[in-house]
Amino acid sequence: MTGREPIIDIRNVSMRFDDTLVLDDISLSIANGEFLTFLGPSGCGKTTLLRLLAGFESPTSGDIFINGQRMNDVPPHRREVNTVFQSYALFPHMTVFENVAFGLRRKKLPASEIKGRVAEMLALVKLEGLGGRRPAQLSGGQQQRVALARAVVNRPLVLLLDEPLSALDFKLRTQMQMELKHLQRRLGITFVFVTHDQAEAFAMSDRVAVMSSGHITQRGTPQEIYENPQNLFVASFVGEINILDAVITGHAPDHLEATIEGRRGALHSRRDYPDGQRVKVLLRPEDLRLSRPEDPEAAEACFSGVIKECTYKGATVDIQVEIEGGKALQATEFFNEDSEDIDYRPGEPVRVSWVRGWETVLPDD
Amino acid sequence: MIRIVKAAYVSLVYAFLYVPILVLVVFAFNDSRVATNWQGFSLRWFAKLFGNETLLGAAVNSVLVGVLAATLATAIGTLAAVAIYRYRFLGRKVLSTAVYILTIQPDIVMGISLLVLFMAVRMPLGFTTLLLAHVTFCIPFVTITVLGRLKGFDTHIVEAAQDLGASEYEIFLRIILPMILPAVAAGWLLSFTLSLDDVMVSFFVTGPSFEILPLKIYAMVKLGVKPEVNALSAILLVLTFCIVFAAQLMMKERREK
Ligand SMILES: Nc1ncnc2c1ncn2[C@@H]1O[C@H](COP(=O)(O)OP(=O)(O)OP(=O)(O)O)[C@@H](O)[C@H]1O
Ligand SMILES: [Mg+2]
Repeated sequence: MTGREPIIDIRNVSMRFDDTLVLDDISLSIANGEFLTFLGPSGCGKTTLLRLLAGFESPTSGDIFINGQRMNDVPPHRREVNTVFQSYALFPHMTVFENVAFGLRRKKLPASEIKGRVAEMLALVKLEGLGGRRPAQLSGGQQQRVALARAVVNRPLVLLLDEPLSALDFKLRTQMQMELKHLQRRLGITFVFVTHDQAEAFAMSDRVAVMSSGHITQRGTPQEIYENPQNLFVASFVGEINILDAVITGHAPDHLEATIEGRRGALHSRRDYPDGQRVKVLLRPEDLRLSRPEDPEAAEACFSGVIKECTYKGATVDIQVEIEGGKALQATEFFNEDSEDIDYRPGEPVRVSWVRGWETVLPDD
Repeated sequence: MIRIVKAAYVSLVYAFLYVPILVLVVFAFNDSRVATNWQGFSLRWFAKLFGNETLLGAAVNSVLVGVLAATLATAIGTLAAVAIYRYRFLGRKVLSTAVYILTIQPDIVMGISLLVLFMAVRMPLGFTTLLLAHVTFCIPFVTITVLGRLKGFDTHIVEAAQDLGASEYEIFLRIILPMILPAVAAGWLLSFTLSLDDVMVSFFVTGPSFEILPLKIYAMVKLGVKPEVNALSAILLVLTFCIVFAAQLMMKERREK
């Protein structure tokens, strides 16, 4: 994202409805051509932030710049951004063609140009031949495409999408995620996407901003956020994670010594912690390694435990292990051809370890 | 068993509602002075009716006031509904509550208060006062009908139009108006029928210079129900059926499009 000037600049924006602070001092720059996703649980203020960018609300304090211009009090119809609504909000009394042409007609473009651009757009979203239909005569997925076409045809500087895929079934949703991403690459338009679905955010975005109760708690590429969550909220919101309690007991040259869930072990952390500091150790299920007590690698394992449950998921197995002390851990093992030894039985004793350095250590607060 | 009871109950309700109307229509074709016994089929009361200049004059007046009042009330009532729905202004809550109160307040109160008002501003009672009164009591019905439809819409539709560059005027003309059109039409028809058969308010606010049908009939039946009135009622009935049928057809076509 270096070298590209920001198309959107959100500076210290706060938003208050009556007595509740819905957005609290948000600052973020979005680069031109970027696919940025706001990811967060319901009620964290994602829609509100998007509505501020679209111009349906104006911020209680702070400034919003679009393309270098301060936009706080510019009404929606004078902003070069367009929105795809969660409910699609298609005009029910107009045909698909008229829906898509609506924005162009407001710009008073010549009829021939409008016709060409709408046809081109309908082809792009694979709706050729449906221009004469009304929204009520389309499937959910087709309506979604009309909503998309209606916004994109105006060639906005930024396209805002508020959970546009949440009404679609799983298969169609994953397909549309890929199509959206390709469309964005092809058009080079900045996409600002909102979702509460971590997988969706990671599948499409260049950059993700994780939100929680009116704050941006972390921003970065999907990989950065998944592998290095900066706090417990982000860690547990983006995917499954095991959280272990630990206390730092000493410093070695290349690692920290600690008591983890009552067992001695080594921790690798970017941050330094003083002796006696209570910390949380985060481990993704796929980073845990299980071995049988007789296996050679079992020697360096940190925990011993008992298999509680195995769930087969096709290419992977989700295994629940109860370690000494009673804590349940979630592990994911991948099948591969030369090891069929992940065929664990409930009740079987196992050793649990993890790939050195893949743990995330956060202060316990 | 329950089904038979249900069917009987429903039949009874409908019979109670429609038998008197049927009797009235049948007796419009009765070849007898008195309406109590059947003397054979005849169209003479219709002939007599069309010879009655004052009654026909009153009918024309009624239709004229009905059309004008419905049209004015629809225009004003629709704009009021759109304003209440779309804008946040001082007194918005008061206004929308007032609209509902107006529909349930007794006609006699409205009749008297309008009469007092017209007298206070020294307006001679006649066509103008009658029209103003009818427009007044029709507006709330239009507003409520239109508001009901507006509230059924996805609020994001208007925002989508704004987002795509539509001005306030364009939003009204191209989005809101086409979507509420069936309700506007229904409001007009409702107003027209309300105006056409109003007795109570009209009784207070019209003068001898301008006679309308309901009042004329009212005056006539004081001297006994003449078969002419039956004939007139039969015609009004057919007219109402036509209007209701047309309205239904219009709504249906919209939905199918
Ligand atoms: N117009 C409003 N008036 C008062 N409170 C509001 C208004 N709009 C939103 N809020 C409040 O602001 C908070 C954030 O709402 P917002 O719609 O932005 O959440 P969201 O992150 O989009 O949630 P979801 O994922 O459920 O759509 C909520 O607590 C909501 O109740
Ligand atoms: Mg939302």
